[in-house]
Amino acid sequence: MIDKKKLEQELSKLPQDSIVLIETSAEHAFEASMASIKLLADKHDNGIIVSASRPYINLVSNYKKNDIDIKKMFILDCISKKHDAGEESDSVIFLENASSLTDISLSLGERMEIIDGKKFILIDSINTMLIHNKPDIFARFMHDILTKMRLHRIGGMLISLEETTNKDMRAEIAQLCDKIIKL
Amino acid sequence: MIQLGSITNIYNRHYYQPIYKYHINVFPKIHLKEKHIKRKEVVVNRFPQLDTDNGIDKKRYVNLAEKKVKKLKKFVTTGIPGFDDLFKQGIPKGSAVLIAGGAGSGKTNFCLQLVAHHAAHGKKCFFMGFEESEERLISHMEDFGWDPQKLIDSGNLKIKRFLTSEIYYYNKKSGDTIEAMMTKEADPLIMELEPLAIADDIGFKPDFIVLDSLTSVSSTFKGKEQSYRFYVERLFRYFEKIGSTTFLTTETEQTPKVYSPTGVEEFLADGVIVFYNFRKENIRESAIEVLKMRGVKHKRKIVAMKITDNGIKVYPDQDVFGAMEM
Repeated sequence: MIDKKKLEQELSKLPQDSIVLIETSAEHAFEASMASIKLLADKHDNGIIVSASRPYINLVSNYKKNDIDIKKMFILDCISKKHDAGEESDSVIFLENASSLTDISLSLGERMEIIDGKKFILIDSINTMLIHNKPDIFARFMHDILTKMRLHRIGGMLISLEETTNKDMRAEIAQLCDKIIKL
Repeated sequence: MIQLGSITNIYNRHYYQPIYKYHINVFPKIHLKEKHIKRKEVVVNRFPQLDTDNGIDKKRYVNLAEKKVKKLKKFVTTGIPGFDDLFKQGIPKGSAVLIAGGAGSGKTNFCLQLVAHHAAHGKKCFFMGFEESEERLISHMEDFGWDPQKLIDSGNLKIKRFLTSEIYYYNKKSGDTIEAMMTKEADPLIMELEPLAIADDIGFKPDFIVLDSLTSVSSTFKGKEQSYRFYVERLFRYFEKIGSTTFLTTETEQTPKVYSPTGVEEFLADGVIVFYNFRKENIRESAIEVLKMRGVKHKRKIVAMKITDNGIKVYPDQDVFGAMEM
């Protein structure tokens, strides 16, 4: 079990447009992701999720279980396309895979413009994305995304596994974030 | 679209600031945009402060606006979303531009989209296809929803397929032709002849010509490279003479280092636009670059591009991560 109270307390101290790196263990990563989305969704009008670890259908059922308002969520699903796992709609687009960094960046940029209201972005697995991408290219991608978020004054969270992210990569990403929370 | 921001910047930098310096209290914030300078009366109406009573020469502004409009008319845009933002003003009118890229990278679609845009805006366009049939090219246009038949019926668009055996020198006076590949480059007779007969073939002087592709033309000259080089040189001179803005496609590798069949074409061309198809794991990322464009400032960057259901869309500010792995 993760310490949800700690997460809530830490987040409550931060401005809404803060970017937070959540570090957790492999077994708690999904729980941390759900808890973060729940907290952010309650505080924001809309959320954009970059999912590299779970398919859209699975996320939707988990959001329902965790009482997260699905209507507020837009999902960039980076894993289902090759399995032909559904039709695109107003709440999801299916990208080729987690190595389509240009496409992910473009789609995120477009959604930042299109989606109204106070919004957040959550990238659900830095580590899964690193499986598909070279670290230096991925670092540039993260820099690109976080710069776009800063320019649009959009806050968000990045979920990373504490024990497996390489040190250089972690340092690169950590320096771009406002806060690191270990769960 | 022409970049409004850049026009405003040029205007401000060269003309506006010196006046601004002396009359800062009279009109502290004026931003002249394209729509204002295109209609000189708007310039005056929009900025009532531009009055001789205040010591500002109204005529000077109007003259400058007219000069600016004249300058704008010397450039053409493509109408391809995002692409024109790669230029400060556009592509100089009358340029011969190479469109280089690998198979399936979007070269032909780019050219079809360009002629569809201009034909829909009343310009005369001629698409010379050496690879695909008229029917297939029209079908591509229909797939993107550009209504080619309407453009053809309006007389603004002509699509014609050529066989590579139809590469000839043309005698405008007699109407005779000589197969280009059969000639020697040093033959003085050729100097009198045209490498194509565009205006005679289609009955109008085109504003835009597409030749798809130069690679097919070059294949006709297999084993006669010198003759091809000579022919291509004559071809570029011919396009320059007739004054149309010309786009010539060339087939290259997916991540090209050479942009034309012999390398000579890219020196002869006024501009080179390169289409990339970067492989990243098991996917490909499309990208585009203005490698060269004589006489204009342009972005020197490989940027993202997508072929959407409505045609090509360019993202002038989007990095291409696949390109960084090369």
